[in-house]
Amino acid sequence: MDHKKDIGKLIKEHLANTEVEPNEGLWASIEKTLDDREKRRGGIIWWSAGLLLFIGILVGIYFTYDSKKEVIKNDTINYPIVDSEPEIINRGFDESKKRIKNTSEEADPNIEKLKLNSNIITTESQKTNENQISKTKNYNSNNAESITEISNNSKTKKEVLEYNAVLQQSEADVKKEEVSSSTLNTNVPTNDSLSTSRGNTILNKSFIGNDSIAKTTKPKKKLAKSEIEDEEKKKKEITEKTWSISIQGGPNTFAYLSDGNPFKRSLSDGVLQSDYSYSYGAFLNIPLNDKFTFRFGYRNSSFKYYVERALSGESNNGVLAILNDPSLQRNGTIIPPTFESSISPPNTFRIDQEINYHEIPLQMRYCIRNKRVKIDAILGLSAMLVNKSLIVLSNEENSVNIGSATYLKETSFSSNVGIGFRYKLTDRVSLDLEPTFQFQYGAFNKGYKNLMPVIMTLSAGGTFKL
Amino acid sequence: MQLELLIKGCIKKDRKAQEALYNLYKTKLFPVCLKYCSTPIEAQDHLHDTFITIFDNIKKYKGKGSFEGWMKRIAINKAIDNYKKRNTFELADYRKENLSDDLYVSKEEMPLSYEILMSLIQNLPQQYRIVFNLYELDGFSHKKIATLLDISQNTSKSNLHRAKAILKEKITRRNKGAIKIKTRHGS
Repeated sequence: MDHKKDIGKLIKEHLANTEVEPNEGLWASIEKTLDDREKRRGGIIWWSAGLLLFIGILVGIYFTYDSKKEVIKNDTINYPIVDSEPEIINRGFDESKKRIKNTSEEADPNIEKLKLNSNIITTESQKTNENQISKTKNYNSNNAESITEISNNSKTKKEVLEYNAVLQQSEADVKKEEVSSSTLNTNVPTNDSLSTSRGNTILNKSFIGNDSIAKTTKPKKKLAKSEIEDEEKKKKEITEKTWSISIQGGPNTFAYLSDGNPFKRSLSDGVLQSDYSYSYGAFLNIPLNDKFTFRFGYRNSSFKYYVERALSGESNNGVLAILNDPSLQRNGTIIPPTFESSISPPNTFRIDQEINYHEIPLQMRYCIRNKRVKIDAILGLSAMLVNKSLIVLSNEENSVNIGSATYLKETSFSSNVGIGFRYKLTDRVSLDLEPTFQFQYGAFNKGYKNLMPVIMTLSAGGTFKL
Repeated sequence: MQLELLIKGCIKKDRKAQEALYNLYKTKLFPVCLKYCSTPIEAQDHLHDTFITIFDNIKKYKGKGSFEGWMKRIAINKAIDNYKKRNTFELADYRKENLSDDLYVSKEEMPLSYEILMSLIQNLPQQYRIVFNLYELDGFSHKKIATLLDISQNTSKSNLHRAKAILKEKITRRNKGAIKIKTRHGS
């Protein structure tokens, strides 16, 4: 033994400048992966465009709704004035009659106004009752317009419609008043400024003014109705703003946005087949306003898929090497000798994988339709933590758990898009149905295959207000 | 000049340029993958992933240093990533054994076949294999190895020593076996 050297240095010398030819089919595999990735990139662009469009539509709906609300606000009326109009006519007549009697000689500025108005009233008083009625109609419509302009208070479109109904009612009341005022007219001189109801109306306007009109009270019937409506509205608002809990569960399916499968190529290069699985969980819903609700919670989601024709073309030794591949963590599982003896060509196998995630979703719900069947658009993010990852190798005779996947990232994220249908059973309970799509990001360790998992879930359950 | 054209083609994702680059360097990169993996099949996967990363990041190569060295560094980094992901170790067999402190061998003792030598390295426990490869074959310092593998420098030194001791023992056993066979045939 002459001239000994450090073993490390000797090995380096032996291995220096060696070249080894890899498997002939490797380029084809690389090419396939590159093609898949390009397809997937195209898919991501389309999905991103779709997602942006969806967000754009939501924002559009939100702002369109708001601008409509503004228009209604501008057209709103002072609700109490409308309801009290017939009373104004009566009271104005009585008050003006009293005032004129008591202060006929006083230099009251109101009397001056009365005198001015009396000229108009005198001419008006010479007209027939039919004319008076028609003018009252005009008055009502004109008054409505002026009231609309004056008003600053916001009411809904529904109230505008109610206002029109009240207006018609008031016309009918005025007609009745005409009949009663005609009786009064017999007691009051025709040249008197207070001889007609029309005159009373004008006088009333001069005397009382807008402030006085605003202070007048509604008729009892109308007041009660509006109060009930207000109370109902307030009650509804309170109920809408109440926090709630949703409990959901349902089937899901799992797919990738590109061809291929998540297994090592040496294990299988086959096409992935999705299998149905399930997810269940609960959310806490926090309403932010009448349109937006923030919700978060927990969901346990399991996904299943499989690949046929696994290990095809591998020799027995090759198969054992694959099963000892670092992409699989064996977790102490032992391959039974009977199974080991069967894993030789031309036998092929099926690989099943089940992944279970603890999922923490943070979502925003936008209410599109708020009727008995409520429709929400759902958008959000989820943090997904791997709970279990199981790989099972099986053929017609045997089935063995070959371990768990080490290529899955412990924590990944997903974006969630969906539609929620809620059927209101009672004020506090509703039934839910939510089809959702999830796009998972960072499912695999860096440098591993670039497959984008897509999860489709159909959740059903109930929402209970707290 | 030809390499520059190939690199430009790869940046443009020209499939022919990518294939040409693969054919040019596959035999040089495959030994790197072989020595860092435990089986040839795993090494094929490693080479596959290495080339995918090379094509993804080729625009980041600014021409500083040799292109071959840059590609080898990608293969090594992948091996380090894979090592970090694995959390199963097979230490038990070797910790109990009394390994020799003499790590010197003569040229005559060394197995001549590349395949045999490579299989000896591949059969090393992975935490010994990676330190041996990084230090002895790829010229990394213990300080750098400690940083890359999140271990102490002493662990790195210890793992290297054990790797060499195991290799020497296996070579010695192999040689003894060969001598026995020769003796039997001779008698």
